[in-house]
Order: sequence, then structure tokens, then C-alpha cells
Amino acid sequence: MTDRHSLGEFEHLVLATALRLKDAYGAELVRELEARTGRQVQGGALYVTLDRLERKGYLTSRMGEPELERGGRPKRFVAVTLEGVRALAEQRDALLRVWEGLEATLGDA
Amino acid sequence: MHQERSGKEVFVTESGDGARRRRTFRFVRSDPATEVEAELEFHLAMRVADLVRDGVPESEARARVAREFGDVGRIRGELNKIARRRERRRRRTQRWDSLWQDVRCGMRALWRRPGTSLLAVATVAVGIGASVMIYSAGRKLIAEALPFPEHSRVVTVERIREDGRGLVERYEDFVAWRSAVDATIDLHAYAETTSFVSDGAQTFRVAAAAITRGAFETLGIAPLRGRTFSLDDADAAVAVITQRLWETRFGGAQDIVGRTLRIDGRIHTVIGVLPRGKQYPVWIDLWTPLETAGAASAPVSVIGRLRDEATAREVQAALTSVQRALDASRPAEERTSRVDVGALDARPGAQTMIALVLLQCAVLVLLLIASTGAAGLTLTRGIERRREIALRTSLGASRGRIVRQLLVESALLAAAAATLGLLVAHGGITLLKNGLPAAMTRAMLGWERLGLDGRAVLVALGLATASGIVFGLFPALRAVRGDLGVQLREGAPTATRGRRGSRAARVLLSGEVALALTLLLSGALLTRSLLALLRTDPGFDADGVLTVAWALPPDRYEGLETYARFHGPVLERITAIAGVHSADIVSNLPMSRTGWSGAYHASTGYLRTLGIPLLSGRHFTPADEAGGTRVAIVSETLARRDWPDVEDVVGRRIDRNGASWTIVGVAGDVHHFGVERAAIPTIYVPQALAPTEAGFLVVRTGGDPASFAPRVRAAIRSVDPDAAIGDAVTLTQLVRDFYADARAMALLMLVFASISTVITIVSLYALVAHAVVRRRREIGIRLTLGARPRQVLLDAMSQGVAWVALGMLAGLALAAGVARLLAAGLYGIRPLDPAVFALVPAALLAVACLASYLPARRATAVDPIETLRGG
Repeated sequence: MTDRHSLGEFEHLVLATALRLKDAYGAELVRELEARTGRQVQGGALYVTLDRLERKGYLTSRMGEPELERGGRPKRFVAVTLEGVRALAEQRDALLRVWEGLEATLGDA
Repeated sequence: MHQERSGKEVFVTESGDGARRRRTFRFVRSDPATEVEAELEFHLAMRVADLVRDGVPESEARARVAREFGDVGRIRGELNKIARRRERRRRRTQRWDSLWQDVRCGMRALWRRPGTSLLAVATVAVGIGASVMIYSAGRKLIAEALPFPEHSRVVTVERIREDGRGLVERYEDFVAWRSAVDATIDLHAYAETTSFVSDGAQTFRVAAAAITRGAFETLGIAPLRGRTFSLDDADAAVAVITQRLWETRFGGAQDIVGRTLRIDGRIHTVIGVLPRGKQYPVWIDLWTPLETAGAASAPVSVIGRLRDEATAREVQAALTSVQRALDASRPAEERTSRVDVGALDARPGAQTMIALVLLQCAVLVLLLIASTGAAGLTLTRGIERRREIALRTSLGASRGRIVRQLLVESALLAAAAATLGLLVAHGGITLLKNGLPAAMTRAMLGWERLGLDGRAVLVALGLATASGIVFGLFPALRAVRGDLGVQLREGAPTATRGRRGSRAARVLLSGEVALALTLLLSGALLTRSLLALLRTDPGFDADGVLTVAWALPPDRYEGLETYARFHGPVLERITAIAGVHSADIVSNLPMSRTGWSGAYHASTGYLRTLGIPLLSGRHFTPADEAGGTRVAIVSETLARRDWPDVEDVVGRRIDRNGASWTIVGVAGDVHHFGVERAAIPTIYVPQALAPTEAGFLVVRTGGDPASFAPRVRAAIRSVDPDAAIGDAVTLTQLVRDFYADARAMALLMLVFASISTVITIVSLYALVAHAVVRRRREIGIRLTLGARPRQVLLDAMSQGVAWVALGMLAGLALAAGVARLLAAGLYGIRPLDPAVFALVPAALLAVACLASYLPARRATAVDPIETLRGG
């Protein structure tokens, strides 16, 4: 779980989503993830994952100024780092290698 | 005819204004040429007369004189030239002389009443200083927030999806864009990251970015030292750092350029230092060349400078069509609707804007009060000087001349005030810059460049001129109005004289009171709110705790046991330091201004070390760290949210991080984002079961926690020299820093309010004192006729206090409006807090009564006989 070169499934989803959106913050990532995966995403789980990705150096985040409309909670903007991109690329390669030649067996499942 | 007249003028004395005016008049009418002509004629005639007296016939004498004299025409021309030059010089000196005389007179007049003059200068200087300070701050944070020359030509470029959302750019797209639109825009890209930096003596983590070569030249950012990236740096391991990093981490070492740093494990050479506040984005401290970073897939941000005549619209159209072509080979959901070319967002956040606007209003009010106060002083003095002015007028000084004299006096005051004001502003900005913690300001564009510049000097001069007109011209015009005879007769203080002048002073006083009260009430509201923030328990005990941020190098830590090899020994060594009560590790700290999700990964003693109360259940134990059951402690808010009907949630299970955790304890709430925000449902899990790559050390000590910093750092380094160590800050300092903006705001408001109030009270004192002096005779008569001293005292006091009360009514109304603006930033009190709105005006009224009582008491001390006899 803490092995830095393998991303958890949810970590993978979050990191890839953050890689797409410029100046993304939590609520937006939840929306984007839900739209793409078609499944419900819990805010809490997302933030825990963001914390972990940041501590691993895959994300950088920056606290926006507290906004009055948001009841004073500051927004946390995240951006994927080069390290994060490398981790994603490794993960993707591993998955592709594992799936090589197996696509046909999936059929319409 | 005018020849005759000018001849007569010679005998008029040269002293006095009238004479000088007439002399000037003569020079304007007769020109030097006529004078030269007359002089020549006179000379020739005298010579001829001499010869005729000696017996030479007149016709021959004329011929001889003409021969003797030489070329009359040439000499006449030369004489004319000399005369004209002399005339010009004379007029010039005369003009300067009279101005100089005014200046000298002005200085003498000011010197005669040094108290009043100093007071006026100090008053206006403070007003100007505060205004210039806030103006400069606003300018640097808003208008000049972007550190580039011609920053309106610098744009950001981003792809916009169908739903309007901006996307992260890809380096490969950027390369395609650059080759397509290079003729119209100079495009550059940067990728943000966080880097581990080590110079052998220290290891730390910084916000870093890789940027395309030539970007700094394009943006117009010249290095302070060394150079920025050139084309030859494509594959070189080189780095550019900011002045901020240079000073904080390398002590401003002279040999910084050429030093080597290990950045994320790779050796880099420092080739340059960027000047203070000239980096963009502003929070980045370290730069490397993007092409070296080499990732063609890197997520980048794209900025550029429009070339020559190019417009953003043209570039946008061109890039959109380039992107359409790129998108054609990509899946449908990847496609962008357009490429946006827009201005860089340089606006500060809403709260900063509100603070700046409020402060700007406050200082303008302060300046207004200061100028009015000074006007009051000059006005009072103007009335006192009526006799002098009347005397000068009767001796021939024109009103214009008198007004000029008075204006010169106020210009002198204003110039002194502007100079002093700039010093005040400089001091204020320095205090402001040092007063706010870096964590709060490092993302504020323009903050590092705060300071006075040429424009600030211009503003100071402008304000000084404006206030000089308020406190100089207005009283000057009053002073020269009125019946000369009445004023000359004597300084006889009658009951009616000067009524109009003092009424103006009283109206000014009312205005001052209204504005000062508004500032006082705003300051009091902000202060009470700040005190409420500081008084509210954040959920932990900050006293005696030192915190140190740390991060582990990514390449050496994998798996639980590797982390244990760091965390265990570090805590052991720190606990062994004499004076340390306990030490713990935690993934994040409350009020540290970092992103946070509601989970703290903590070592066993964390709650105890931070003094967070355990409401039920137990703390983590070493046995929990061994594995087995996954245990967790939750916060009260989380327990109540997830199990609203359960008395004690100990023993329940909670899913988190894709695992199930058994709750063994409930802890008190901690306000991570400040006490003004509701506590967030929080879970604590053992650090050993879910170790983190970065976090904080918290050390509870017996003495001054800050003094333990070197030993704590040394302990970390001794375990792993490659671990990045951040700033060591006491928890008390962290909490204090968290509210630094509220503190600065309240403090500034209070300072401005106090100064305004002092000025107002002094004005009141001066007004009443002056009224008493002026009415001595009247008071004497009343006392002789049997008026009771008490009655006289009340009468004298009521003059000022009535106007103060009027001003206070206006002030209360004004403050009620301002309080509504402040409401969003207030904590723990209502905008129309009854205590503030009752106590502050009451206190002001009490001080006003005292300020009127002191001079009014002198009224009762008037000796009737003496005043009636002489005055």
C-alpha cells in the first residue's frame, strides 16, 4: 500500500483526473471522477488520497485564499508533478503488459 | 509725459509694497531703449554745452563731440544690450527676492509658534504617511502585482473543454503550438513540482518548476546574479534560484553562483539568482530547464508574450485551429472546444481586497482628519493674526500678497509634512512586511516587492499639496476678508467678533469627531473579534511545543519497515534530549496552512503531546503499532456525525483508506483551519500502520521550545542526512501566525483610529481654549455682573461638547454602515455589538468633556477687574 511505485486503483484514478484539469480542487475532481467512472465518489476518500499523493510527491497543492462564499474554507488547488506523471506512466505500462493479448477474451463482457 | 512720470518715481522710497509695485510699473511702461536714448542725448548735450562754455561755436562743438564719441549707432546698440540684460536680471532677482522674503517671513511666523507648527506638521505627516503606505501596498498587490514589464502583453494559454473547464496542457501540444504561432507570440511552458534540495550541509524541500529556456528573457525578468537558462543549457544540470531562497537557505552567500546542489538526487549547478519577487508563479523558489526534465508528457502551464502588433484574439483563433487538427486523432472526450488566450490572473483574493479597500478608506479618513485638524490650527492662528494682517494691509500690502504670504507658510508646512510622511510610510511598510508570516504572503503576487517608489513620492507630494490647500488656502482667504477698520482698532475681544471663523472651526470639529468615531468603532470591532479568536480554545495546548516539518527522500523509503527505521530512532533520540518531555510524529498539523483531509497519522503519544483531551476510550499503545488490529481514534464531531444516537462509539468500526478500523478512543475536536471554522470530522490512525513520507515532529519541552530547535534538527540529520527538514516553529508561533492577518488589520485600524482621535481631541482643546481667550472680556463682564463661575464654566464647555455630540451622532450612523462591510470578517461578535457601540462613544464623550473642561476652567479664573481694565 505504501510501495511508491505502484499506485492504488483510486490513487491512479485521482492522479489521472488531476492530470487533466487545470487548477483543480476537490469538489471539481469529485465531479469529474464521477462523470468519467460513473460511480459515486466520497469526498473524504478523495481528500485522503490527495494527502497521500502529495506526501509521495506526486501532487503539489497550494491553498487558495479563503473565499467568503465558501464559508471561509480555503480551496486547495492541486497539480500533478513530473514524479506523478512518471508513476502514472509506469502503472499504465504494467497494466498494458498484463493485458497484452487478453483483450479478445474480454469480448463484450 | 510718461518720461516726466518716471523721473518723479526716482524719489519714491524703495521700501514697502506700494513703492515696489509702482517701480515695477515704471519698468513695464518705459523700455530700456528709451532710457539709453535719453542717457546718450544727455551726455552729448552736456559735452556740447561744455565746449560752448569754453567758447567753441555750437555747430563746431556738435561736430567735435560727434567725432570724439565715435560710432553713436554701434555704442547705442551695445548700451541697449547691456541695459536689457541688467533689466532682466533685476526683474528675476526681484521676483525671487520677494518669494524668499515670503519664505523667510513664513519661517519666522512658524517659528514664533513652534508648538502649533510642529503639531500641524506631525498631524499631516502621519496622515500622509499612512495614506502613502496603504496606497503603495494596494498598488504593488493589485496594479503592479505582475512582475513583468508591459505585463498586459503577457498572456496565459489554456485549452477549454466543452463544459468550459480549463485543461492541463501537454508538452507535446505546446511544442505544436509554438511552431505554429511563433510569429505572433513568444510561447513558454513550465511544470510545477516539489523538489528535495541538498547542499551537503542541509536538506530541504521547495516548490520548484521546470521552465523552457528563454522564458525569463521573454517575460522580461533579468537575473540579480549570474544568468538564466540559455540555449546551451538544453541538457545541462543547471538551476536558477530566487533571492528569497538564496537569503533564507544559503544566507545570501556571495559565491552562490557556481555552487552545486543535489536536486531530487541529481547534481545541479546554480547559474543565477532572480531578484526579489520577480518569479512567476510567485511561490516557486527553484527553476530548472524544462527540456532537461525531458518528459514530453509533462503536464505544463503555458504563458507567452504577444509580439509587436499581435492581439490575443488572433493568437486564440490560430491556436484553436491548430488544436482542432491535434484533436482529430484523439478520442472525442479529449477534444477541446477552444484555446483560450487571456490575461494572467493577478487579482488578490476577496479578503485581501476587502482589507485593502477598508484600510485605504481608513487612511483617507485619517488624512482628512489630519488636514482638517491642521486647518483648525491655522484657522485659529489666522484669527489671532488678524491684527498683523490688517496692519500690513494698511501699509499697502495687497490681499493677493497676504494670501501668498499665508500660502507660502502652508507650503512650508506641507513640504515638511510630505518629507516626514514618506519616512512614516517607509517605517509602516517595513513593519507590515515583517509583521505577516511568510506562509501567509508567499503566494501573494507583489508582496515581496512592497516598498516606496517614485510614484509614492509623487502621491505624498500630491496629498501634501491637497491638504496644504485645505489647511492653508481656506484659512488664508478667511483671514483677509472683513472690515479693516474694525480689526485695526485694536485686538479688542468683543462678544461678536470672529463668530464666522469659529463656526467654521466647529463644523470641522464635528466632521473630525464623526470620522474618528467611525474608525474607533471599526478598530474596536476588529479587536474584539481578534481577542475572541485568540481566546477560543483551538482544541490543543500550544504552550511549550516545538514543531519541525520533515520529508523523506522518495527513492529510499518503500514499505512499512523502512519508515519504522526512520521514525523510531528519530523519536528515541529526541526524547533523550534533556528537557524534552515527549516527542511525536504526525502527518499534518492544525493551523499549519497546508492541505488536509481530516486524517492525522500519528505516533502513540501525539494526543498527549499536543494536549488534545481524550473523551473516552484509550490512547494508541506500542502494541497497536505491531499490527494485528487496525485501531483508530476519532474526533467528537466525527463520532456525533456518524453515530448520532450512540453514547460511546468505542468498539465501532469505520472504513477509511480502503480498510476497516476499530475505534478505540474519542478525542476532543481540533480546529485545523482555525477556530472561526467548524471542526472537521477527524480520524487518527497509528503512523506505524500507515506511515507517511512527510509530516511534522512535535516536541513538548520543559523550557523555551525554540531553544531546542538545533538539537532536534541534529537528531533528524543523524538518523537520515537526506531527510528534508523544514522550519522549526513553536506551536504558539504557528497559532499566532495563523491570525497574523486579523491581527495586522485590527492593529492598523486601531493605530489609525487612535491617531485620528488624538488629533480630534487636540482640535477640541484648541477650539475651547481659543474661545475662552477671545471671550475674556465678555466673561469678565458677566462675572462682574454676578454670573456664577459654574455657569460660566458650563457655558464655555458646552460650546465644544455640543458640536462633539453632533459629530458623534453622525459617526454612529456612519460606523453602523461600515460594520456591515466588516461583518464577514468578524468572529464571536455581532457587527452592531452593543458593548462596542455603547462604550466607545461614551469613552470618547468623556475624553471630549475633559478636553473642554481643562481650558474652560481658565474662564472662571478670569479676573474681572483686570480684563475690564486692559484685556
